[in-house]
Amino acid sequence: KSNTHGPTSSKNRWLFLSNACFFSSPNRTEISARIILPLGLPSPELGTAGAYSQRPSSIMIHFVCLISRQGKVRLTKWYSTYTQKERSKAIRELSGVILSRGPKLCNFVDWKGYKVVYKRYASLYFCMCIDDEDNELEALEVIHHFVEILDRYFGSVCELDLIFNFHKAYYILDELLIAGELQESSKKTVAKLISAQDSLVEVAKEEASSISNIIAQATK
Amino acid sequence: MDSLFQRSLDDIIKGLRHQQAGESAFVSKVLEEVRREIKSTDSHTKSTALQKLTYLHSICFVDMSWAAFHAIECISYPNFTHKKVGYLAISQSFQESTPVILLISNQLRKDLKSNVEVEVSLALECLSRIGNLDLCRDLTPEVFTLMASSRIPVRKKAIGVVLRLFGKYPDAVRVCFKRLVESLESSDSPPIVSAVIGVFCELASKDPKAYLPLAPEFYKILVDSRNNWVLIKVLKIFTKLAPLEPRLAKKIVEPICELMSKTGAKSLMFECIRTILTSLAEHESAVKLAAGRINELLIDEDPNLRYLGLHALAIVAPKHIWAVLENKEFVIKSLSDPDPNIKLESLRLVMEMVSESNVVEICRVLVNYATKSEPEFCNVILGSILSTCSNNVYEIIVDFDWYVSLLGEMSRIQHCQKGEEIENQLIDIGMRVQDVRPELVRVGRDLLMDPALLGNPFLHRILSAAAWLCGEYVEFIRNPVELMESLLQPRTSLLPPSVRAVYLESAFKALVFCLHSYLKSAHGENGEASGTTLIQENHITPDSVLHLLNLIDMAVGPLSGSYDVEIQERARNILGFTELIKPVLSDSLHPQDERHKQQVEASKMVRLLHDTFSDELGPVSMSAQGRVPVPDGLVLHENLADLEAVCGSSLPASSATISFEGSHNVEGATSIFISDQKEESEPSSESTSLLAEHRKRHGLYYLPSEKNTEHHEANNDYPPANELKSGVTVSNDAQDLAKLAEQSFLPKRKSKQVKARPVVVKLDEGDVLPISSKIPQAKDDSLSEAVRDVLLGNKAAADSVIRKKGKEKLNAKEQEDDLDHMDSQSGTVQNPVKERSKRSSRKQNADEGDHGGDKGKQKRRHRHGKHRTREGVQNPPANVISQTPVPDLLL
Repeated sequence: KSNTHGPTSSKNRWLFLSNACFFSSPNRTEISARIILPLGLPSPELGTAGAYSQRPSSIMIHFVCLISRQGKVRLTKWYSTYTQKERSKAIRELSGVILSRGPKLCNFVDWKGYKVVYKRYASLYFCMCIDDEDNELEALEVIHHFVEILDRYFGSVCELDLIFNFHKAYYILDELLIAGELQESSKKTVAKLISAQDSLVEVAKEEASSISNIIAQATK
Repeated sequence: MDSLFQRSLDDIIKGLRHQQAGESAFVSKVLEEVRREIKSTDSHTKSTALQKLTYLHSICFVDMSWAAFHAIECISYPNFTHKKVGYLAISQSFQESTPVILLISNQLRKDLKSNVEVEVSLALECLSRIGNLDLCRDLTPEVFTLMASSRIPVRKKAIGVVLRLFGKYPDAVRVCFKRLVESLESSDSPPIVSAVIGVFCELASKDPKAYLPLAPEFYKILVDSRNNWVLIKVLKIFTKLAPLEPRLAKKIVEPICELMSKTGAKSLMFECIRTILTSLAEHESAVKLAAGRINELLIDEDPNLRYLGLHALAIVAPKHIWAVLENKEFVIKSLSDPDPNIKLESLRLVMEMVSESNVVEICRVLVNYATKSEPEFCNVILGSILSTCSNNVYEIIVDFDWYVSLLGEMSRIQHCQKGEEIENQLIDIGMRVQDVRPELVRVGRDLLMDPALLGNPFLHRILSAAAWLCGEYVEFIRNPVELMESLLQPRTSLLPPSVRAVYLESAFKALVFCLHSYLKSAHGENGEASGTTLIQENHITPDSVLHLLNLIDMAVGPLSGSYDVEIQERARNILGFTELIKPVLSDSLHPQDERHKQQVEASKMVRLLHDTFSDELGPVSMSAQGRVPVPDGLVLHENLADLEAVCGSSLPASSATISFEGSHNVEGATSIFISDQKEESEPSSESTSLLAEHRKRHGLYYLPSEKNTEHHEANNDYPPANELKSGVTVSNDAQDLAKLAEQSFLPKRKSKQVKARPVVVKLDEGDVLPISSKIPQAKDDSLSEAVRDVLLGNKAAADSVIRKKGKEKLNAKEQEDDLDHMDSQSGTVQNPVKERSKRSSRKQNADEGDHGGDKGKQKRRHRHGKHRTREGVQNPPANVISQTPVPDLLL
């Protein structure tokens, strides 16, 4: 890529001249070296086509993340395959882009051929990475839907709720989305399912903390 | 007792919050604890440790692949809390390649069969996230069972998981697909329909053709559903299906338009607009309606809607540019929007509007605008100007003088980082458009003269192009001495070696030109030849020749010891030449008796070089290489065979530009330097053998263009490689734009031909892509194949469930028609799919009979047109089956 048409051709013509033995070349291996160093080789960048391009696109939401205004990550959920390295890089890049955007701009960011739809609620940015062809407004609605469900569950949710109940936020998200698709559009249903889970957890906790269990543990 | 002193997740979170600076130290301390605790046999301790680790993994991105086995242990605990923690850890951290992943197969199966709904949900969620080929294959039967579960949430999730199953294990289609199709009709429970449509939407986006037979079901949902989520998905499906089947497009255009004007939800409205613009663009009235809605979006206060409005215009632009032109003012105004996304989108639209007549005007506005914007956007603007103007061999450029000076102007913009692109275009234009060369040289000279530009690394590529142009077309330079001075000015030491080498080469060309014209004019005085006016203009005096030679001694002399091979060699060549020419020339500068004879010798030498340099260079066809006859005994394909697999058949013949037309000159050269030739001929065979060896070892890295160079190493009187003057140089000779424009309308192969080197790079990239996408491709094929099998499949497989379903499906409207039909078929109805295919054949017949009819009303017409139906039924059954299934919407 480093050689363009013009200089290259003039160089080659020069090469031609020197082969016609105009002046004896200072070093013969240099001539062969120049021929072998070919012009515009495809080889070195062959493998770097980009990990992102190979990802199958048959998924609506590739990942969801919550970033605080200070750039702290509050939740990440990945529906497409990303290595841990790619994950932290993606979050770093995105939080840089998104946090620097002003308040009256649109809620979409182009990112590596994908679209990231984000919305700020109080001190938290809710971000969702979708395909370029997907409906940005729909994604915004999914985000809003998620926030409403969180709000209903925690009772006027704030960032602290999500910080200290990070696993709960995950379970709620799991009731909302599956395999990168919206699975439940009814807030009521999600709330019902979550409370069913919670009661199971309560039962399990009681069991675990019952005196007989503690004794069993201690005497093991 | 561990658990008593174990820090809980809350402790960690609090701890992290209180760390100001030493966060990483805190994290590594916690990790250390976790590593210890996670080995505990106590389920509570273990799961708490795992939970903490999961937290750090998802928030601080620490590695937790080492804990994979512990996570698997956790999901096997009976206590739900622990199980939950385990599942969360797995779905967050497992990759397909996690080594222990297969160990969870049994536990997942157990949980999928569990009576506790929440456990099933956990397992399904986990599978949807981490399922690989083996897991998906093993668990397909369980998921299949759950798809018919009476518990709606479970069923819904199972349907969601199907997407993963199909993606990883296409054979799952044979098991699950029928149930998936049935679920489409469960109108009693909207969440199920929503989930199924989501799955189909993603499936159809990969291979729409396979899902065409399901169009009637989708159509029903489009008409009946009131759920916006579902409608958006259905519209997405139709966006893919409609281009495949024109009758389908006609059918859906009306309900979509209706939906678009009725709905209050902007997301749905936008999806309608997008569907119409992408897939129904032939329906003029629908596009008009959509354009109306776009105008509404554009004037909205919400920046999201404005952005989407512009985005929609960009979709419609290629086919209906009028929609963009209607909003021209708004688009241009948006260029200064505070939102960079809106700016980019409007820039894209502005470029869409560029045409032959307004390109000068628009570019002027944009360049002005670019100088005022911030660096990043400035370069985006410049980039889009460059790509639009160069599109299709500069199709829209009429006035090349203007364009070339625009390129010069762009180079001088402060933030310009488009050096490479400008460089390519300058040279490309120089070779393609003969008439513009004087202007090119003028622009190039101005750039070279300015010592300030040498300090800007982004401009080096442009300077290299300018130097090359000025050297190659030096005959257009008004003052070659001045050019030499700027090419050899001291600040050129700031240039990278590769550019500097080009400078030296150009200086050489300019020097030869100067000497040539000087000697010629001297001859003219002698009365041997008449001096042309051009030479007189050049004002080459003996003094200036002396000055030049001194300048070369001074500026090039030190470079003969340069570390860069290119610079060193070129510098030595120049110096060698001046050494040779000086004695003979100095005589002619200081007249003596021998003058005449010496001068003849000098002019002989100079003319030789001058002739070599003045050979015309032109763009070279991509296929020029193919026209070179291969000499006997030269084996070219053996070592390059594996290269072909990498690069495909169309390989660039870039360096084939070497001109062999002056072959008589070569002979002249050899006759003068006979002794040198002898010296050379021996080692050259040595170097060829070296080369051959290298080629054998690194065959992959050789481009076929090397053949050329090797050839003429091997024998010098090799036939002309590129018949530039014959076919390929049409564009080169193209004096006027009319010809260039004509060329752009030639078939693709031709227009590709005239594209010079820049395309070569593109080709290489293009060749890489198919390799990387090969694997997913194969998977797609097997998936769609499986889907096709099931959808159109063998009737033997059609089970009773389906048959029953198929009958239920008939709704009141169509019953009359279909019962009628079934009667006549007397029980041959086996499965709805096949039934549908038969109907489609009927439909085709109907269509043949009535092409001009209003297809929008087909539904009604068909219902009342039984006679036509009967006609169709009389088709022989074999024929019916062999028909390719086309969706029939006449339900």
